Amino acid sequence: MHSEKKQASIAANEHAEADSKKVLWFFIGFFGNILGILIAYMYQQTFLVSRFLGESPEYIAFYTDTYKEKTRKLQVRWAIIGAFSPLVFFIVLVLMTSLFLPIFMIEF
Amino acid sequence: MLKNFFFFIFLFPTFILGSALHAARLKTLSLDFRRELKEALVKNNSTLKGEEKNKTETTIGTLHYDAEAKQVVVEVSEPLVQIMIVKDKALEIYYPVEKQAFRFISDGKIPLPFIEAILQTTQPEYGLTLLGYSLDKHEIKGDVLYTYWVPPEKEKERLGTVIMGMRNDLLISMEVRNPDGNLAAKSVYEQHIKLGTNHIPMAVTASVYAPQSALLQHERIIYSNPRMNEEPLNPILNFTIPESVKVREIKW
Repeated sequence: MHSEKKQASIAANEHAEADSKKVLWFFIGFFGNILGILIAYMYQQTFLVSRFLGESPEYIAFYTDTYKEKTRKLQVRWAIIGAFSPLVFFIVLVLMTSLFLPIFMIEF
Repeated sequence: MLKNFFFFIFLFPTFILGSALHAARLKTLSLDFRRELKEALVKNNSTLKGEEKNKTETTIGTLHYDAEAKQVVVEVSEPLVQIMIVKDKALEIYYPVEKQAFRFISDGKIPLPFIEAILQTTQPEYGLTLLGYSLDKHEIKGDVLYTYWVPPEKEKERLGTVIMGMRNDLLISMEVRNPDGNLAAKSVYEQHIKLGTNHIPMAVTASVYAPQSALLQHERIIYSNPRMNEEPLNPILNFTIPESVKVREIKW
């Protein structure tokens, strides 16, 4: 039983990684900001029904819970990265400017 | 597209049979299957022990399709007894031995394209034209004719090229590429049998790949004993989960 749960957990995590469209969620976060993050939290990635073929009820129960949790986590993570990337870019730009602009001005 | 392709492969003979028997007014269709599956993702996971890494899962059962009810029932007999019922937006899974059941309810259609695929069999080119694909080019290598199908313009960011291989008018291979051109899935069709005017592959080998073409899954399915319009109707097609069984309902 323990082995089955472990198998279900590993498979669900890896399938979620493979199924999640990370680039898409990044841009949804980038353009949608808070709304994008909310969509990422609420959207449920569909799964392949064939993954349940010949699997036990315990496997299905554990797989379903793990898959849902993992896909949501990934979606939200990438939407957050997308939403905050303009801010990070701005901070980096300000830092670079404040660091290199004086050097540039001295040289001239 | 990748998800669709998986079941497309798995139930390919079903809808080919549907096509072959369309003229005879298909009501029901049953097909025995034996599926051997190796999941590369789990296999490659370092937390699993040696024997678990090399495990091949074998599933044996029967597929049933009811054309009027637009319902598919998958009856699994090995490695355990399991009944899967797909109708409309719901998937039900019942375990007669354990007396447990699940009901998955989706907002949209449950992604089981073989139902649509059966209906698409009246369309030419295995439903590719119905999906908006158009023939781009063809080439002949040895005795195999390869045709290249491109997705509609508005879907090109999501879908890639489909390459079909035909030998003596029999479909022997199909490749699905992702929009970047990398291999997404490949299937090989063998052991064709003649049914009516069509030839049906009774052995299908399929591989599904990750975005960078790393192997995700490899399976071989052997189909046998095709039965059409069985009389009397197989009772499994009228099966409902007993009321005494508690069903775990999952919104998806």
